[in-house]
Amino acid sequence: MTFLLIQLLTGLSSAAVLFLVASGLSLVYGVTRILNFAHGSLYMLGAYMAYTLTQYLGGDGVNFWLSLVLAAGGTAIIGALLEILILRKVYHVPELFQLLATFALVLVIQDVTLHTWGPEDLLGPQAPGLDGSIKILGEPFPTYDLLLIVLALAVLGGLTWLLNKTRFGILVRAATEDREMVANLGVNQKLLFTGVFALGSFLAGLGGALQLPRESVSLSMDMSMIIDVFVVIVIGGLGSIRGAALASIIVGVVQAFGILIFPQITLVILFLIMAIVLIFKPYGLFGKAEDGMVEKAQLSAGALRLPPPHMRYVWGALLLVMLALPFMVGNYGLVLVTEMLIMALFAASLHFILGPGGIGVFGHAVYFGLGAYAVAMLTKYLALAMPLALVAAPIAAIAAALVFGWFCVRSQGIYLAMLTFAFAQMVWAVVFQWYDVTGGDNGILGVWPPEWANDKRVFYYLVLTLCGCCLMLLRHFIFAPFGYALRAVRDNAKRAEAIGLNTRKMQHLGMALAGGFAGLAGGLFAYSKGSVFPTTMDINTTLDAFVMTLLGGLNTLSGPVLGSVVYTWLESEVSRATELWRLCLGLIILGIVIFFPHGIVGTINNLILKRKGGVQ
Amino acid sequence: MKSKNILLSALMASILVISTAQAETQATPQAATKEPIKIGELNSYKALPLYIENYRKGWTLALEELNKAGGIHGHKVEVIDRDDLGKPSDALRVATELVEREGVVMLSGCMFANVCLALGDYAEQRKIPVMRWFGTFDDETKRESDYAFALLAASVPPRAAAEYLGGKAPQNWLSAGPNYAYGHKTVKVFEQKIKEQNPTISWPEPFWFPLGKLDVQSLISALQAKKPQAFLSTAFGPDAVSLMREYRKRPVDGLTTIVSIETGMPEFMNTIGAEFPEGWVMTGYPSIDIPDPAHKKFVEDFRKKYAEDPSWMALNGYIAYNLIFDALKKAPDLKPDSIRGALQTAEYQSPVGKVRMRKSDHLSTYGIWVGKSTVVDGKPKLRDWKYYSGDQFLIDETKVRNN
Repeated sequence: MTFLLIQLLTGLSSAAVLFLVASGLSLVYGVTRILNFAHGSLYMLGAYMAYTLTQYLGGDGVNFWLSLVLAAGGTAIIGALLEILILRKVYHVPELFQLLATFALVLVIQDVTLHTWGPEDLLGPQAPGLDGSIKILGEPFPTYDLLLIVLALAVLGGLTWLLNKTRFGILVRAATEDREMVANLGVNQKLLFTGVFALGSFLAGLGGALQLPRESVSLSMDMSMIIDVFVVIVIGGLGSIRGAALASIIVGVVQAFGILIFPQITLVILFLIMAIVLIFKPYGLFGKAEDGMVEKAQLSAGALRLPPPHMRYVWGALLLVMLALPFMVGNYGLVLVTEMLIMALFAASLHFILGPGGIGVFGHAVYFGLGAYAVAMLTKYLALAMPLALVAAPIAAIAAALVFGWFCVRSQGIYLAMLTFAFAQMVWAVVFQWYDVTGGDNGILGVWPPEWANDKRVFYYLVLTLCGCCLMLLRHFIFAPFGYALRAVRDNAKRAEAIGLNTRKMQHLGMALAGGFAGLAGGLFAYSKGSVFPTTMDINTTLDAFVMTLLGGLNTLSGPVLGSVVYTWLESEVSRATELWRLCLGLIILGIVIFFPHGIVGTINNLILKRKGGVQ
Repeated sequence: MKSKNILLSALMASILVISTAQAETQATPQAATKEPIKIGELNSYKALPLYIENYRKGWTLALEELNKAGGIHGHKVEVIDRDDLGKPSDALRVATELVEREGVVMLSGCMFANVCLALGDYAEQRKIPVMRWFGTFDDETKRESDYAFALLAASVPPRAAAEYLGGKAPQNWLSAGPNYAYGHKTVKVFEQKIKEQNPTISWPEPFWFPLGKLDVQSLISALQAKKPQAFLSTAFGPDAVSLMREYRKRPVDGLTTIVSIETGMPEFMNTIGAEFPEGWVMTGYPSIDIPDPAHKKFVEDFRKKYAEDPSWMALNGYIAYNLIFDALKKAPDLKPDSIRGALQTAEYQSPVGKVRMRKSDHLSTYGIWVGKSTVVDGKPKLRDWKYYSGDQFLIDETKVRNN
C-alpha cells in the first residue's frame, strides 16, 4: 500500500514537470497555432542557464532560487527573440512547414548550446534545505519532488487566474478561439503573440531550471522532453491548459506504474495512450474541432500540369547519362548515386501523399523502415531470395499503411500528423526494444544482395531499373483518374463528396500506395547497406524525407527527385567538411521555409513564369 | 515551362554526378614511395562528444610520437578523421567514402555497439581491416568478423567487476540497465559470472529503463520494496548521475553491495564531482594514481601536450593506435590482407603492460580497472583498485572457431 502511494507520488512529481513544460507549449499553440518543436530546446536552455547562474551567484539560500527564476526569465527573452526574428515569418505557411521550421531551430540550438557550454554533462547544486527526504507512512520520499508537485499546482492556479481574470488572459483566450476576430477588433496581435511566446518560453525555462537538482544538464534533454510533451498536449487537446494538466497526470502516473509492470515496453506505452485517445477523441480530451483549419494555408496549391511532349527527349538524355554512369564514376560515386536513387523514390512517395494527396503525415519513415525490416528478417530467418524479399517489402508496408491509414483518415490537420507520428513511434519502439527478433538497436546485419547482384554496378542497374519504373508509376497514378480524384478531395472535400467520391477511401488508398513505394525504397536501402537499424524508421529519417521533398518543391513532380539528389550530396559533402552539419541543416530548412517555400524547382518555375508574364 | 525546369534538374543532376566522379579520380591510391600511409578514423563526435574528443587526444599523441620517430619505414602516417553521426547507416556511408575515395589502408574507430557491429560486417564484406576500440557481445566461440579487431572486449568489464567481489557476493540481487542490446548483455554476462561463483544466488528480472530516461524514483521505490542485499547498475551518463543523486536521498537499508559498471571513469567522475558515492564497486580508470613508471611517463607526455590529465578514452585511443602502428610496421606491404595478418599478431608494450591481439577471436588482451568509489578532498576517486587483464576473462583461444 505504502509502495503504491510512493509510486503515485513519483508519478505525480514527473507529471508536475511535464505540466510546466506542456502548459507553455499548449498556450503557444492555442494562440499562434504553431506546434513548437523547439519548446524542448527552450527547456534545455533554461536548465543550462540555471546551471551557469548557480555557478556564478552561488547555489546557497536565496541565490539558488533567484538563479532559477532568472534562468526562466532569460529563456523568456530568448523565446521572444525567436518569435520576433523567425516564427513571425512562418505564421502564414502550411502547418507542416511550421513544424519543420521549429525543428530546424532545434538543430540550430543544439549546436549553439554545444559550442557555448561544451559537451560535458553538467551537474548543478542541490536545492538548499531540500536535498533530503521526508517519511511518508514510514517510507522516505524526496522533499524536492514534493515541492515540484506543489509548484505545479501553483502554476496551474496562476495560469487559470491569468487567463480568466486579466485583460491579457482574455485576449489570449479570444485569440485561441478566433484569431481573425481578435485582429479585427484592433488588438495588437504582434505584441500579443510575442507576449504569449515569452510566457510559454518562461514556463519551459522554469521547467528546465527546476530539473537542476534532479538530473545532470545534458544535450539530450531537449528531444527526450519534447516528445513526451507532444504526447501530453495532444492527449489533453491542443491549446487547453486543463487538458495539459490532466494529460500530464495520466502520462506521469501510467509511466510510473508501467515501468514496474511492463518494463519491456515502456517506450510503447506512451504512444499507445496517445493513439487510443486520438482514436476515440480525435481532438484530444479537451480539444475542439478546428474550424480554423480552413483559414490555414493549403499544403499544396496550384494544379499539376502535364509536361510538354518534347520533355521525353530530356528524360531520355538523362537516362543515357544514368546508364553510362558506372563507366564514368568510381565505386564511391556509384554508392552515392545508388543512395540518391533510393532516396528519390522514398521522397517521391512522401511527395505523393503530401502534395497530390494533401495529407500531412508525419511518420512516413515507418513504411521505409518496415520495408527494410521485411527484407532483412526474411533474408535472415527464411533465407528468402532477393526478388521475393523485394516483393515482400512493399507488401509489408502497404499492410501497415492500410491499418494506420484507417485511423488516420478519420482525423485531420495537426492531429492527423500527430497520429501518424504516434504510429511511427510505436513501431519504432517495438523494433528498438524487441531485440530477440529485431536485434534492437544493433539491427540486423549481413543483408547483402546475392552473389550475382553484389557487384556495385549490377546493384546500381537494379536500383536504377526499379526506382525508375516506380517513379514512372507514381507519375502515372498522379495523372490517372485516381490522382485527379485525390486532388479533388484535397482541394475541396465537400464538393468531392458531393460528386460521389468516397473521400476517406481515396485518402486511405493514397496512403497505402505511398506506403508501398516507401516500403520498396526501404527494401532496396537494406540491400544497399547490407544491414538495417531502427534508425531507418525514426523521426530523423522522416525529417530527411521531408527536407528532400520540400527542398525540391511540393508542386512539381521532379521536385522530390532533385531534392533528394541535392540533399544526399549535401549531407555527404557538408558532414565531411564541417562539424556543424546540424547547424547547416537547420539553416537550410529555415531558408527553405522562409524564403523558398516552393522549393528549388518551384522557385525556378515561378521565375520563368514571371519573366513570361504568365499567371501563377 | 515544365520542360525547362526538368531540363535544369537534369543538368544539375549531371553536374553533381560529374563533380562526385572527379573528386574520386583526384584521390590517389597508395602506391608511390614516401607517400603518407592513410588510416581512416570514423567516430561519433557529435553524438558522444566528450568521450570521442578524449579518444582523439589519445591517438593524436600516439600519431605525433610515431611520426616524430620517423613514421613507418620512412612513411609518415596520416589519419583521416570523420564523424559517423552516431548512426550505423551513416557510418557505413562514411566508411565507403574513406575506403573508396580517400584510399585508406584500413579503418579504425566507432563507439556505439551498433556502429561497431555494422562496421565489422562491412569490413568482412569489403575485405578491409578495421580496428575498433570496443568489441561487441557476439557468440564468444566464434570470431565475429574476419577483418574486424577490437581493443577491449565488451564482456571484460562486467566479468572483472564480478571477479572483484570474489566469493563475497551476497545472496539477493536486483539489477537495472538501459533497455537495449548492450545493456541487456552487460547485465547477463555479470549474472553468469557471479553465478559461477555461487549458483544459488537469487537474480530476479532486471529493471529495464529507456536509455537516457531512467525514472530514478521508480527504481529506488522498487529497491525499497524488494530490499535486496546487492544491486547491479549498468546505467551511465545522465542516468547514472540521477541514480547517485537520488539514492543519496533515499538509501536502502541492508543494501550492502552496489556494483556500477563504467562509472569509475574520469569522464564520468568529473561530472558528478563531490556527490560521488562512497564504497560502490565500479569499473573505471584510476589515471594519475597508477604508480607504474611507464604509465607515469604517459601521463607526463599527455600533460605536456594538453595541460590536463589523461582520461580513460585518451588511454584507449593511445593504445589502439599503437597496436595499429605495430601491425603496420610488421606488415610486408599495405595490402588489406597483409595488414590483417599483421594485426592478428600485433603487440604493444603499453603504459599499463603488454597488450597482445589474439589471433583466434581478434580481441586484444587489454583489460580494465575495478575499485571502490570514494571522495577525497571533495574530489571523486577510486580506492583499492586493481587492474584485470583481459586475458583471464576471454575464452580459451583453442575453443574459438575461425568461422
